[in-house]
Amino acid sequence: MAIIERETEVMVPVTVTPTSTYGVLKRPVSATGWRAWVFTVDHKKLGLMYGATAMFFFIVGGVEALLIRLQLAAPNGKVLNADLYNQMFTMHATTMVFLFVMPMAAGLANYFIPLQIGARDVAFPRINALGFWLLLFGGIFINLSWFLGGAADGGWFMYAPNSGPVFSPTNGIDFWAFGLQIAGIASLTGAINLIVTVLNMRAPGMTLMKMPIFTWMMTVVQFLLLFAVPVITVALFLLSFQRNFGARFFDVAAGADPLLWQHLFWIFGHPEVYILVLPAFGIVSEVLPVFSRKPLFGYPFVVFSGAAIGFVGWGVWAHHMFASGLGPVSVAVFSLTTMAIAVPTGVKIINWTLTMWGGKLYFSTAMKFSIGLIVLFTVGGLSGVTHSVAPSDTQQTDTYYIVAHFHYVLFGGAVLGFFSGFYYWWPKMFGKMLNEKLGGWNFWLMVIGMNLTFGPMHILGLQGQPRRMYQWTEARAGEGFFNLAFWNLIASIGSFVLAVGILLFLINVVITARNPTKSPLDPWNSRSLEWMTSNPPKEHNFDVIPTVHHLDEFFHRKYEEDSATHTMRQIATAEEIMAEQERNADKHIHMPSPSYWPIVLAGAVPIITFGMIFSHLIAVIGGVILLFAAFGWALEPSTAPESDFENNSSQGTALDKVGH
Amino acid sequence: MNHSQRHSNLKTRVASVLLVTSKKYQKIFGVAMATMFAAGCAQNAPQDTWQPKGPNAKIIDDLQQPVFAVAGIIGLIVAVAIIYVVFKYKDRGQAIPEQTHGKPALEITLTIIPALILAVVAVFTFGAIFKLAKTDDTEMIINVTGQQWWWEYDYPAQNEFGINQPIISSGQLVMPVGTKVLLRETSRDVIHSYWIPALNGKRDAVPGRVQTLRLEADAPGLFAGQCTEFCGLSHANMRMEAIALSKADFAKWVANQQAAYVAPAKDSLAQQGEAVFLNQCVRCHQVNGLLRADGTPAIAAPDENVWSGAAPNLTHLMSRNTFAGATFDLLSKQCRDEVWNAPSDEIGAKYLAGVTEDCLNQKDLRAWLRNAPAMKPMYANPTQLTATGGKYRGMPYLALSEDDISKLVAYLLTLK
Amino acid sequence: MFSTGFKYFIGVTVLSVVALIMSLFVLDQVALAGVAISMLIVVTALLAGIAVVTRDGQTKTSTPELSKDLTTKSIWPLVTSIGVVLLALGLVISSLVFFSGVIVLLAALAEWMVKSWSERSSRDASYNSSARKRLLNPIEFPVLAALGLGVVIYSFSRIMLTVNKSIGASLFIVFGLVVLITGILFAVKPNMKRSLVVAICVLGAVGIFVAGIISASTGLREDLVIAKSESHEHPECGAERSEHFDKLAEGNLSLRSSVDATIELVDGKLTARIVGFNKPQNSVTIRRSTATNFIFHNLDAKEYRLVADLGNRAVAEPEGKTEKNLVCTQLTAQGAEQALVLKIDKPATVGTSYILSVPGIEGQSIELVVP
Repeated sequence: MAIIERETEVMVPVTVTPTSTYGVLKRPVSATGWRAWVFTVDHKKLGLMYGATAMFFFIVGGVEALLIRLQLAAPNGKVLNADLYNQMFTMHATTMVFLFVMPMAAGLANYFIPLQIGARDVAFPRINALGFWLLLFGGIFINLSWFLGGAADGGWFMYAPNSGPVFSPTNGIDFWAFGLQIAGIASLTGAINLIVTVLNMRAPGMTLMKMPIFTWMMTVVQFLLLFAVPVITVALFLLSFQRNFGARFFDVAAGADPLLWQHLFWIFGHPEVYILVLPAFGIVSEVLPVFSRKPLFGYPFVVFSGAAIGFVGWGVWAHHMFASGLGPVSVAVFSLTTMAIAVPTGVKIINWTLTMWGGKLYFSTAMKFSIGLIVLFTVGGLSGVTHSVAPSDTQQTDTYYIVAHFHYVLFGGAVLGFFSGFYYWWPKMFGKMLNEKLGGWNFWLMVIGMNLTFGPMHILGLQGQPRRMYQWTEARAGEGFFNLAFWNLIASIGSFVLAVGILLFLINVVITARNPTKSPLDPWNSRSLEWMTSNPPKEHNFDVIPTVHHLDEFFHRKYEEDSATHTMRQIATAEEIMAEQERNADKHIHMPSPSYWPIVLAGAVPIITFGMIFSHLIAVIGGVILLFAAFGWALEPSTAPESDFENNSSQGTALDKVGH
Repeated sequence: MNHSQRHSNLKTRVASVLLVTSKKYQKIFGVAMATMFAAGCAQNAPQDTWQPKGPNAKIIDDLQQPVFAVAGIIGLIVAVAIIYVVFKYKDRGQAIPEQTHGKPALEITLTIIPALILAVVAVFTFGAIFKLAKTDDTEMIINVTGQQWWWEYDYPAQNEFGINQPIISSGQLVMPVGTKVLLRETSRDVIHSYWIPALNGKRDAVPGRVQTLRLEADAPGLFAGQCTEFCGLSHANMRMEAIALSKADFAKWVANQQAAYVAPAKDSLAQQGEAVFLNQCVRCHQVNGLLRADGTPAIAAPDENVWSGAAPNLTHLMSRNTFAGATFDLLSKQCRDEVWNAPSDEIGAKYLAGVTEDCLNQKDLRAWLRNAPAMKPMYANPTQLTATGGKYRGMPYLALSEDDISKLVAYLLTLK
Repeated sequence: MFSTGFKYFIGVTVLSVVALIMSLFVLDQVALAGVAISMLIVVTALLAGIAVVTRDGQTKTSTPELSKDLTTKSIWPLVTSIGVVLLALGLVISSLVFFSGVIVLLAALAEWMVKSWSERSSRDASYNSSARKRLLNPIEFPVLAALGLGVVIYSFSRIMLTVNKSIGASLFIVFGLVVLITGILFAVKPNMKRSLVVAICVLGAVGIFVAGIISASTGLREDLVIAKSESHEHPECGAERSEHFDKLAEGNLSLRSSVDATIELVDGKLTARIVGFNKPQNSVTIRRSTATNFIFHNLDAKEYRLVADLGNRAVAEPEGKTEKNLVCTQLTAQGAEQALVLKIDKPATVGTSYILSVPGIEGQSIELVVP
């Protein structure tokens, strides 16, 4: 579907033009009200909906985490029973990984990749919409299990054979497996869409090495998704067949080896870790240069180390299995590769530090979160290096030390990165700036809360408290005031401090929404293309597609180097650049029309999976709906015909909605 | 002890490093830091991974302490660099700096240095990995079998230790000191993981596989452990305890385990208990040498009642200090503390004394017999058993009368 | 507003809904009927929707001479009649033929309908045919492709079941190469005539199809025919070669990580090697209720098998009788290995013991201890 209009010959019937299209329904055209959201194919609206969905699940996962910490605050906790606790930690991880971090990254990528590369939308707008709806329905589907007999209780790693029908007789794992399949389709379509977008739709002059670093990191993530999601899809199919159709892939009595699941899961699972954390690396690499007033130090190193992580990330999966009994040779090899992957990760830390070195640092909330990320991620990275030492890992694996490690990596990395992105991009997305003062409180409470929660877990783990236990006993807590009971209590208190920090963010959002003050056009003195348009951007993003000459194009349009002092001198303001663009606006901009079918098609999928679990009749009905939606989709015209628009001239300044 | 001093020293260092990395927030974290420094003070945690009590755990400890220290130093360097940058380059109205895009030589140097550090670490790691995988210097073999949610230990016949007939036990692993013991692990249902932190790292017990784990204790002692691979409902309650006995004490233990069954005295309460046992418990629990009323040996058939196919062998129950997968103590609190806190050279004698009537933890044992699933979450409710064809996972509720429970307790006390 | 077509389809829809509701009350087993009627409702509702949107294909400028010359040649009357014949034949011969008749009829009906609708949708013949294609090609292509592929694959499988094993392997390689080379040819010569490409593909498919028919009429290759007649139920655990049980004995194993013990036969002596034991053993302790894997490694000059004697077991017929419970490997050649998997649920009792032995070698056995 062409988005940038070019003059092409169009096949038109010779004699008579039929008035009706083949589509069963006309394409919707509404640009207001709820229809504007439900049927939209606009990457910005979809990006915001991804973000809102992710935020909702972040709260769900956070409440699950708080319940877990409540249960573990004291010995022999009675808040949850064993069954519920097992469901809780399984769903906490599943929610945070698949329904918060991945969609949030997808949302930011959706919103900002087209803006950063100077495009008007993504390559496949309807597939983009399908991806979002699948994710939302998949997430709801997984969580439905809470109300239908109990959620999945096998841990997010879902090791066989404990995930089999005998050991987990409720439907929780069925919901989990099918729900993740649905979300997996979303990830896969999203990955292909963004890869095609980045490779084909960059503004003229933007070579790959002039591409903003966030777009680069997100592109690496999309490639990781493209290859990792099929692996988990296979694994989940095996699991579903085992549970729903009597297959015996992991049945030891039938000669299966349960380690098959572990290999499949972690070949997906380790790249998944980078899928979770690289978006945050991209955000930080955007934010630090802006607030240091200096380009990213060693841009090619950051790009290539990101790509290197993307490659080496495939060769380290068995470090999750050092205690599984792989044999010393495999353990040694994976130990080595795991150490190797620390190097490109270290490169990033070094580059971020050197980006700030010699800069002119302005400590906005976004910058605070980014610096917080560098420090806290380093802690997580270094504890990660201690795991690469396999013998040492056999003492630490499956203890709270690991919990501490990956929360420093994922909370200290991914989540702080996202919050940095929220504060940085909020004016771009909503035209209003989040309150910086409240932002400071938000930052400090989150950082303190996070260190209080996860810091003590290093000690808990090294002193022998295993993970995934619904209760711990005083008998194994040791003696002295600072025994494990003390640290468990501190961690629980910390988790509530953390929760208050996040609550402050939500309050900040509400306050900002009610505040009528608009943000300036370029509040942070930014550097990349997404700031070279209005706040929030128009539906077609750019009045004129910019031609790119520099890595930080926007910055170089505003500033010029003083040849004597080598410092930068302002030559234009953002407003001037914007006005210049509006003067030269393209006359014919052709945007894809909204569509009914993505949401209908996405809605059919959970009906099918629901039917797989409860009654195949329902699955047949879902299948019919799916077929119907696929037809509607295929037969839909690529744009709504002229006559469908009520008022041609109502849209935008020079926007000609109809095309041709 | 010299050794533990060094250990706590290092621990302080690492703890401080963990903190220093967040030094940027030092003012606010002052209190938190002070408390975290004190982490070194957490004493005698039974599962502490930094207190090796045998050569295998020592290999790991010798490797990980320097690694932690190096990681800490690197973290410190990063933290200091960032604090420096933050204070030095704060916006004080200076001009926008030159737009430099990096210095490749510096970049490459800073890439190679961590790579070299890791290369050195890798060399030592490799050495340790292969040392810990050796099986050809074994002196004693113990088969360990995981099942939801307890461990079974069986000792194949090994005449040099006086084991002429295989010994079968559960709950507590008993081993001689200074002997290279090799555990051969497997599982009957899901994946479990065997872990005695003081003696070695963990190794998963995977159904369908036999995997080995080296254990050796330097001195007599009791070591706690915990199943560390999530294994379902009662994962948290799947504990283990390893007891290292001097060679002489171990020989006594072996002799007792091989002793013939002694039927309870005629007309005693225990004898009535034996009848209850034959009526109920023997469906799953084997007691070697126990005869039915008709004189035939009572053979348990757990495979017909329990999904995973086995239940603990209770032949010498009272020689163990725990029951129900080491979830509960057979010894009362006071008696147990006496064993656990005994000096190394007295532990053997105290442990071998077993459980006497005075020391029995009547409360937990009776509660267990009254309604086991209420004590420990298990799949023992008949409505939950459709997937297993009616077979239990764990001990079911038996609806025993208080009278029967008293008789049973009396009988179990005779299983020395 | 409401065209004839719409009225017809909406009428069927309403009636089907009524039928569905009635069936819910009347029938006990509603699943099959319910699905069928629901499908009907969905399909007719869909068609009604299409009819109302397209107004039965009427155009703005209604032209009376519309139907003049726009009808094209049609294969569907022929197919329909074939369907009817199949239907009738099926009633006599078999339900398979009957149902293929039903499918053919339904397909022809749908195609016919869409074709006649499209021919009246405008005055431009090429536009009309594109209209038909746009609606039906999304169904036709996948269905025809699946059918075509199915025929090719099935034919190919017949060929592979007929030819000799080693010829089969070479054939497979040759076929693969031909496909690869043809693919490369197409790829490097994108301007190749379309008809030539079609001809090559059709030729290949027809070739396989014909070869498949010939193979199917020739029948399975000999060893498969024999294998079909053999019984695999009872392993024969004697010293001598068993006609069926020892066929195609494997000589090497891939399982290593899960082996409890390796049983070795050297110079007429049977010993067990167990990880951790430095010396060979003459008894093996195995856990009850756990699948235990052994490897039998024959280093003796002759062929032998390993037999596990697991006592007696009850026989289903006649009741009360027992038979020897034996489990064994196939005959194992010198230097070769075989796996033996045992699962013993109950401990060995006094007086009975489980034993591993090798028929043909006296006085050598390994005790299986089950505590």
